[in-house]
Amino acid sequence: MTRSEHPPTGERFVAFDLNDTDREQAGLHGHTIEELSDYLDRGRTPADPSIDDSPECEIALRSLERLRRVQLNLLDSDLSRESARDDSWVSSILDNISREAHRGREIPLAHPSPTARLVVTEGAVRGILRETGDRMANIIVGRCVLVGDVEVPGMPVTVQVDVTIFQGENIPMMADRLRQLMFAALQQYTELVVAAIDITVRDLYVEPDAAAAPKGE
Amino acid sequence: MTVLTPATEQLDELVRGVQGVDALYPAGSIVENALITAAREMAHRPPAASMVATEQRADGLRVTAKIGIGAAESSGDVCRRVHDAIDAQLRQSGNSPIAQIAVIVARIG
Amino acid sequence: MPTTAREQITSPLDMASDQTLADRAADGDLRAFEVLVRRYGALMRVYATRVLGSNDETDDVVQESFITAWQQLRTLEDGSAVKSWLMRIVSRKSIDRLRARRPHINIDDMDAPAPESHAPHVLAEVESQTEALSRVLAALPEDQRRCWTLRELAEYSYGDIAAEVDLPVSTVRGLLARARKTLLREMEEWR
Repeated sequence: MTRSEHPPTGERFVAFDLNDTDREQAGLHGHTIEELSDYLDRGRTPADPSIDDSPECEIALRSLERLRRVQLNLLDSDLSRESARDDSWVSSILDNISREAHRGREIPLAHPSPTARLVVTEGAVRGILRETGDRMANIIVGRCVLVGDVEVPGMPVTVQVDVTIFQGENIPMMADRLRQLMFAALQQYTELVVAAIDITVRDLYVEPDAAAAPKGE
Repeated sequence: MTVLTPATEQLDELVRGVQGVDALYPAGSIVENALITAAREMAHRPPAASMVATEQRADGLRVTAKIGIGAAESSGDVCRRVHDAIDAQLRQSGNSPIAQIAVIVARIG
Repeated sequence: MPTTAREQITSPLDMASDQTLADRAADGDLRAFEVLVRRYGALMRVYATRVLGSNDETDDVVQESFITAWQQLRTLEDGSAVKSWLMRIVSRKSIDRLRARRPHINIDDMDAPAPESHAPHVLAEVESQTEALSRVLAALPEDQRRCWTLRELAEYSYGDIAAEVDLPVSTVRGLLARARKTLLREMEEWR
């Protein structure tokens, strides 16, 4: 690094007046802290010799870098403190949200009586479709969409499902199996006429090796 | 508004007792439920209102039950059982004409 | 009912991508939402605490943020952007809190509980640099701290900060520059 040709170690950063831009620029070879900060944000590219060759700027840049390091350390320690907290705040969030927001449309179930209105909510059906996928190993179901007029009995409906499959699995076989299970679930819990279940493999999940695995709790 | 009829409180019991019913949820309108929830949060106690909603309108009585069912069940079968149980109960207790009995499966498994 | 920690079961969902979790939560999957709460809740708490300058209201702000997120997840088009979307919600909620506070106490005018910012050098030597930074940050004027936090913790662009705090970009740049200069100057004392 050519920058280290001007080792500013030990020199103190110029303690300029916060309001005096002229003094700031005079102390920083015509630059400002804001410019230097942006320069660092850009990874010091493209190289600007008027900054790189100025010992004053170098001192300021080092200070900015040090500030950034301390910031990262602060964030790390804040995060580890927050992560170590007990779980009650998670519970309190989950206890305070309502499923009502996601009930979706009402899917009719037949009954001979004209005064009967029997339905299963779209939210309940999506839930059981996810469950169906979750009971299979090595596949994670994402979004499930019921396409078509589910509120009118007899209208053909298409189900669109996004999945992540673990690397190494036989994708067509997994998809077929999931399709069969979902079809059976739809038969059991709805009276929908299912035209197709389209499964899109969005992602392959690559098992992180032990070293890269996320830290255990 | 929810109008309490003599049969209302027994309806909660009745629906809970139907085979395949795992859970019973408050069936009022969304706004009404929000009010109940807000009241419950303020008072820190469960609402006194019954889960099965009943409403007397000009054309007759409207009853709504919102349920959760077990994963081994069929939604249609459980719904029909709940409907038929409510229907029989209302007829037996000599209520006014029935305009609608709604059964909503809001959760499976 | 006991309010102790929910049992934490390791499920494949813990390994799911942000996109998958956001999609499922948008579909009404509480379990996927819980994984998101655990994944980003700590960062949101850190963030809210920094913006608010204390942790008195952190619980409330983060809880409100997640409730809003749950209700509005369906409007999030790209589930893989859920982290920055959550950060945006929590920053908005935090800023709302600050605004709501203002009629009661004007933080900028308050000079009482900040004696630490003029702490003797002895103190600077014994406290760690992170503690020192934390102290200096807390003593920054509110508008500077807000901009700094959006920039450095939430990684907002200048333009996004300006939109968020409803100030011209030039003002935001000025506030950030001031905040940095103050931090740099204070930091010189920690050596």
